[in-house]
Amino acid sequence: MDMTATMNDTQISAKEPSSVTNQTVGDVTVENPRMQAKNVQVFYGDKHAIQDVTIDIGSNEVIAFIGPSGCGKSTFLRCLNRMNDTIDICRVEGAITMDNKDIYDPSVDVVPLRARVGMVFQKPNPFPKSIYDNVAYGPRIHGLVESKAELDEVVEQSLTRAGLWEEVKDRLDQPGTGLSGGQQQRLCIARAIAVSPEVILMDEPCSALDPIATARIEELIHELSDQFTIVIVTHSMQQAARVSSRTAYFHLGKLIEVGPTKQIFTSPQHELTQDYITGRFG
Amino acid sequence: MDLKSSDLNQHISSQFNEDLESLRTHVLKMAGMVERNLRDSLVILESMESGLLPTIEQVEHQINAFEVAVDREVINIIALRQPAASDLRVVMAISKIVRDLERMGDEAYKIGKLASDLAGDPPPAMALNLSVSLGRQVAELVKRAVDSFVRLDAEQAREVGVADRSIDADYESALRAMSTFMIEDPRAIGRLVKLLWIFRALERIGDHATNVSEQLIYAVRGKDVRHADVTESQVNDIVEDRE
Repeated sequence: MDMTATMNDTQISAKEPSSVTNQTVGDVTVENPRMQAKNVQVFYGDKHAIQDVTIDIGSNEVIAFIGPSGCGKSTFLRCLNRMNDTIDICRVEGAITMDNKDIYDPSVDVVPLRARVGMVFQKPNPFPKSIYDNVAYGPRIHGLVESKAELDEVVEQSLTRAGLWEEVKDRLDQPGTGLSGGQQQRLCIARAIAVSPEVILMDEPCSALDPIATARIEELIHELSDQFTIVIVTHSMQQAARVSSRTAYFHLGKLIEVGPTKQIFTSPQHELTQDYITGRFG
Repeated sequence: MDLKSSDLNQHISSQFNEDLESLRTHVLKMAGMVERNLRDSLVILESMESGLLPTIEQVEHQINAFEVAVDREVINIIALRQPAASDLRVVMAISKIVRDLERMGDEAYKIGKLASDLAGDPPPAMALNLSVSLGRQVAELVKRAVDSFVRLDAEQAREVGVADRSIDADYESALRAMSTFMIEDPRAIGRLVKLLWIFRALERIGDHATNVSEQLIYAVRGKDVRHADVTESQVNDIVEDRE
């Protein structure tokens, strides 16, 4: 995806009151962190897209990143598995650690990193391959399986976990692109979990889906949270409220407020958070 | 963060602003009617003239209709707007406030009716004066509770709770005085029992006014100040289903 395009059409409506401070409101730490970001800065050329973001991502939690367009939530999400590496003008500073190891350390190979930190995108993007091969692709290239029988098992497990097995078990050899939008997105989730990641990043995973397909994905997120850490970026505040246990609010590249979702949606502490979730941005 | 009056009409959706404004206006109208009925009932009590009772009865019906109407508006806003944060708190607080207002209306009507019954055959003046004096305090308390709602003033709302405690104390001493009056003049017992019911109704109105102010504090500050004896961990245990 062309990130520069996203950055250019931003901040048309966002206000910059004096209340945009560097200090994040709420507790950015958790007892049992899976990943930790410390003083993360992201630059696109001269543009300072993420400013001094510090936050822990807890083990087996669903954390939602919300905020107006161009607030940096997707950019920050992409830092967590070095997706921004693909953009030449993008520079990331600060530290993002996983199990106390900096994922930006030169010794880190991004391929296994992205197996540990998987990603699901806005538009379902199955490979132009069969349903089976879509799921089998990751375990094959990462050498996670030794036999066809083992691979069959991983494919079945992943599709079952993604709530798709019953719908596709009789047509595994058919193209993944032939499925409905919601099914394709669940296929992408099955593909992501087939390599047993620890963290799954979801960048607006339901924005192209109808409400029923959305409800299925949300239910799936809830089920998967017992095994995986899930970070979801969403434009739908009600979705953030429904699926996440913690919510982080971004504004103009800064992390304004973090807190338990129940608290953020009933008693946010920061004016900007309040304005955004009550629909007062103008 | 605290809610301010200006927060209610700054949504991108002008329709939502209008919905909330209309909700607030209706609650204020309803509160105005409750205040008026309480005042009129106290006029009957003080003057021992029952002329205002039909008006009180009429307004009481209107108060009931407002409760149903505001509840309907609340349900519609929740269903169509999915309010969050301060909006959600305001809407939830209002749904509870109208219930208390309606109860206050019932008690005010009860006072008007009992006072009218007494009008032909007044209780001893000293006892009657006690009830009029408590009535004035309660009317002032209600006015302050409604005022704090108008201004979204959590500090003033907090003072309502404090003032209600002195009303409760006065109510207790009035009850003691009433038993003395009954012993002194057993022939007046029938009238004094009616007056007792009036004291009771006044005390209940004070409690409802306190409830209104507690809801207002929740709407403004997001803090639930009901029941001083309930701890945060007790509430969490129930919410999280811990034994």
